[in-house]
Amino acid sequence: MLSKKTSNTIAGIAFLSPNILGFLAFTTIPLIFSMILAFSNWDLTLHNMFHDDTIQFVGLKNFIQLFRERDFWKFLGNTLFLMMGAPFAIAGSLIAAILLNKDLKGKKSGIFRIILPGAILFVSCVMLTLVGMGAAALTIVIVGAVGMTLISGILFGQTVYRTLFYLPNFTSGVAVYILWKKLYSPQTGPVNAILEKPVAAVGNIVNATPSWVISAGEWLFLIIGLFILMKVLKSLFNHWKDGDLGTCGLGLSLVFAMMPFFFAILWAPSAAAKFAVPAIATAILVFHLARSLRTRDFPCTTWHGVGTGFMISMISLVPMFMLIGFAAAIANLPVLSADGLQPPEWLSNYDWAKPAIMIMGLWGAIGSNNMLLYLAGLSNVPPELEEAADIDGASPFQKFWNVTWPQLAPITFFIVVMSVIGGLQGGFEMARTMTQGGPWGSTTTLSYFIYNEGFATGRLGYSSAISWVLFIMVFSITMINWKFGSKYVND
Amino acid sequence: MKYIFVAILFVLIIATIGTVMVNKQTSSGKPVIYWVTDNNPARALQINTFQSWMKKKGYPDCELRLDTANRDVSKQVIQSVSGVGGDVMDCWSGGGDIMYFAEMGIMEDVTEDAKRLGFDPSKTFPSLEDDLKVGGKQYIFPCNVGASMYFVNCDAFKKFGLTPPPMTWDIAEFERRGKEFVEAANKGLERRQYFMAENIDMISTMRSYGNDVFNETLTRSRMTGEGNDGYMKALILNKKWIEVDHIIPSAAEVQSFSTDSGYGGATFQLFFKGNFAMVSTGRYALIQFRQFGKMDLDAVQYPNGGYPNTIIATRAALVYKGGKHKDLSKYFLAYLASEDYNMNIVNDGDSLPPNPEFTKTEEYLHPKDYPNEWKVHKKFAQDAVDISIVLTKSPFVANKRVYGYMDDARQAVLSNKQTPEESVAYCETRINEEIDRNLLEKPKLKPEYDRQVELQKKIDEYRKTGKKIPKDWISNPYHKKYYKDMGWLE
Repeated sequence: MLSKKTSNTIAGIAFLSPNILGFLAFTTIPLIFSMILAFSNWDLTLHNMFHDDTIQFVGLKNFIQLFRERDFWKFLGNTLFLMMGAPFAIAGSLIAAILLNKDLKGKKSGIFRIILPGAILFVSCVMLTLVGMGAAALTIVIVGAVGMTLISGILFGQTVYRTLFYLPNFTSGVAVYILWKKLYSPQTGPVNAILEKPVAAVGNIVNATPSWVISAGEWLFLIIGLFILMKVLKSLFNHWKDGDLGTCGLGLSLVFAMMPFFFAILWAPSAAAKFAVPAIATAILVFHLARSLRTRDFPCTTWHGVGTGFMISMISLVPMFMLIGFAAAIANLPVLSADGLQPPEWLSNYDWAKPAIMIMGLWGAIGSNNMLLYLAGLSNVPPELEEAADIDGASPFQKFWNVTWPQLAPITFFIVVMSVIGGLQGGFEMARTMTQGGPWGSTTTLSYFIYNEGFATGRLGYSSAISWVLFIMVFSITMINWKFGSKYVND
Repeated sequence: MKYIFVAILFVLIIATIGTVMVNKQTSSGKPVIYWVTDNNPARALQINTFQSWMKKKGYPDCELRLDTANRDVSKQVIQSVSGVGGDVMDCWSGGGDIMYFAEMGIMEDVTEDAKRLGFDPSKTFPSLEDDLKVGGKQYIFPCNVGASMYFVNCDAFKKFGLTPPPMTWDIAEFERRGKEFVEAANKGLERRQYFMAENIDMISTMRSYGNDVFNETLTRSRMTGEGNDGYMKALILNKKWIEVDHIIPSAAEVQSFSTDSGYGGATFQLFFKGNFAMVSTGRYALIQFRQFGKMDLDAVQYPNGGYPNTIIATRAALVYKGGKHKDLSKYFLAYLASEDYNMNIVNDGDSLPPNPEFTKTEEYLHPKDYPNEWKVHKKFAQDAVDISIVLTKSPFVANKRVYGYMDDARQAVLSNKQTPEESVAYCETRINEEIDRNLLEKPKLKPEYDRQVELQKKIDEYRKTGKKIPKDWISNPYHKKYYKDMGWLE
């Protein structure tokens, strides 16, 4: 006779066994196997049940080959570029959650004054589409649908919005990608139908604008970028002086923080900007070095605070890169507008394909689980804290910044970690469905690269090595996040 | 909770027993051959014909079942190397799958059986021989054969008062007619909606200038240097015809057409509607054209830079080396060479029948329900015999990579990221680097590679001095035919 404890243990294991067996068979064993494979020359064309060749250990050969491969760096760049959308996606889901946390239900009186014209508008739009008004009608339908949504929200409150916002999360990925492909259709898609006139107007304005104004616009963005750099460097050196950041941590952070301005050499369209921007950035660095290195109030160990420095510099990279990108776009405007400015060709254009995918990702992310997490977080913010802030006379922004935002820190931290992991691993379905990784590899991400390497050539060892490099990247960033990000959460 | 657990377990056991019993009822008790192929309605008839053909021939009784869920190449590869591939599998010769499968050793060598059962290369189009064999061994036999041409919607030309193009034309004439067509067709329209052709075939255009992606011995990519600029010329023409002359649509213009469904995507429907006056495809497109309705069809060759040519490829069937019923599966390949099967293909318009003899039948040339197609059939069969060449595949490199790199070059030029010169040079470098890497990783290839390199040196020397070259020195199918047509062979 088994004791109660033993029988409970057996029952527990029996309940867990399907999951444990599945996890072992489909996760743990393949994981270990792929790690071994990464150091082997396993090639399906050489090593399979029909060949006698034995798989050989090749040490780091696969990794060395990978780092020498031009495509790897290009696809890594694509992956990181697409990840620049993550902060905006997080901000978007937060805004969505804040909006959905408000009770927007309207008063019943006057409902029919809103719903009746709304319904008529919607039905008219559908009829226009049916009789073949094409893109214009589709645009009206979208506007009509948005109108109806607003009206439904007034009628039925947050539930309608919450359901609608969460739609992207439970809609089939491939169906959504095909839908977006249609939305992005350059000549007949609703996106360009909406953009066509405003873009043409911008083109006319650009053509009528003296070239020095355009240059000023370009420089304005560059100067804002340089200003951010100045602030970041100041913060880094202050941390160093206060003993929060060691010398090695400072050096590493400076390299990261300066990076966008050396990319400007490649991106900046005007020769002046190409050289002046890195020169000014270097001058700012030299100025800070000269000012700060003379004295140090609180020395610390060399590697102390490396994560803090890393976090500061990495966070600053996104706006700095974007500002340099905007500056390049403005400088290119006169050339693009010479024959009339056209809306982008989105997925079929090398330069626009990645932003197009980022925008789609942003749409998906706003209505994702992140939004749900933020919603849950917002409902857990103690009302007495908000009341106290109200009594102290805090403005809505002050209330958000000093009460709500700190309360959401653990959730934000979790979302950041998951977004980084998802961002590095993602992009496969989108690339395969929408662009096949093109044009000219501009939307090929590391996950798509792994698939192609594994199945186009049969080099499974090499493919596993890429997967493990990706894993190391994900793991390192997560560790940094965990070690240093959690500090801000707990503070 | 544990009672719920036990109850679920019980239900699962009952369901398992039920499934097994249902399967038993549907099993005929005969050996079953699984045919991994695409989900095409014509397959049902082909299976029935196979069963009756086996009976007629007195071959062993068996059942042929379709497996349409595993046609994807990556699935085929994984299942085959794991020992669970389909008995007979379709594969596409164009992109290099056959070379890939042969390297993996998953295909059964059917050379001897082909001679015994009558499905050796002599039973199909001679130009396909290089696709049927790898290293002198036969592994596959065609299910159907595709030689590409431009299908012409004659109504689209007549609508704008223009005459359809001739069977053979050069680059200059294509451009002249193209400009004429798009000007007449798009007059007064807000945006361009009519294009003379949906695309140009880059490989055929390159080959029409006397060049190929590989050299004669398949040891190196040769796309740059004096006299090797065929692909560069094709890239320049492609860009010009898209961006300057608008004879063919850009990717953005293609995306802007709202139609996008059915086999072949939007292309065939836009061809029927006249938005594309010509589409580059094989005879298999007739299956869909017949569903759209009647249109006055013709077929013409691709424009050429001096050497008319087209690409021939096949959807072929292979016998899986690890299959349980390999002998029965070989009968299926024999069936593909039979009159019963060939007439099936002739009647349903699914490209060219494997055996060219059946392209001479009245049913092929003049199908009575489709007089609008009569100008087309003979031309496809004729071109498959006269000017067609298979896509070149080197044993020293993964060929999917090669054609991927070539397409990258096209995209780089269209995206204005590289000049045609830069993109071709980069493409050549990447292919050659891939060959070098392959030789390092697969030392077994090295002796044959070295032998071919020596031959290449001799060929280059002979060509410099104007001497004729022995045919068996050349492994590249394109150069074999080109040299023969130029009278450069011994």
